[in-house]
Amino acid sequence: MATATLTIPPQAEQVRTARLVTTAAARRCGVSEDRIDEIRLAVGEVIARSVLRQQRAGLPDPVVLDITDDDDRFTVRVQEATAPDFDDEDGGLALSVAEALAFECDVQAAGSGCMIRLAWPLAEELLEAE
Amino acid sequence: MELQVATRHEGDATVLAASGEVDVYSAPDLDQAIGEALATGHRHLVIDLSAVTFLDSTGLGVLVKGLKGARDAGGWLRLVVISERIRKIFDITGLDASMPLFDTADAALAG
Repeated sequence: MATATLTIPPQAEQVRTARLVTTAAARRCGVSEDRIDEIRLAVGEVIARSVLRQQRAGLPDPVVLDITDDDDRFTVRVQEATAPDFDDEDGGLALSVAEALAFECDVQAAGSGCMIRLAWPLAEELLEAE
Repeated sequence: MELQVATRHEGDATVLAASGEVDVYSAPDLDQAIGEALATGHRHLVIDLSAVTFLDSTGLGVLVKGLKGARDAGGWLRLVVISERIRKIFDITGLDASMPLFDTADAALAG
């Protein structure tokens, strides 16, 4: 079940909006408050990275955030217009932080751009994992 | 919440007390405050993050840049972090090994 889709222009001031929407969606899906902090930081890192990459590439396309709670997972997919192999400069740290916080994190080519997927198991599975 | 940075001087040290969120949008404001302190000869810096509610890797980048600037000037940079939420990103990145974290500004000033 899709819970939210957010489309933002690649502007730094929009990253906060993406964090707020993600946090609200995670809370609505029953994610614990401790985990919500991690999700907020991980998604904030990925969105900020996407915005900066598109600014460096000169691509005005929107960054699209898709939040779902399918398959017992709270999943956030971030679609950006830059290719996966775009020169990342210092964006590597942002992705490393997101990878450390998410239960699953992968980057895939998607059309001419790429998609970053972050996922966390929902409550019951989290209890078993810890 | 917008980022605010208040600057005060304590002996030969300068305390920059930040409040709000430090992210890709607001990190340049913290960078500017640190840069102004260093440019005016204040090379011993305490960055008080106790009222910061969010810090991402762009904020960390600013702190690392400030640490380098302070060291290059013969000074130091120390951080005040009380929130577990904020400490977590230092743990993940290992930056707490090179930037000492203190519980209070007084403790940071005392070193």
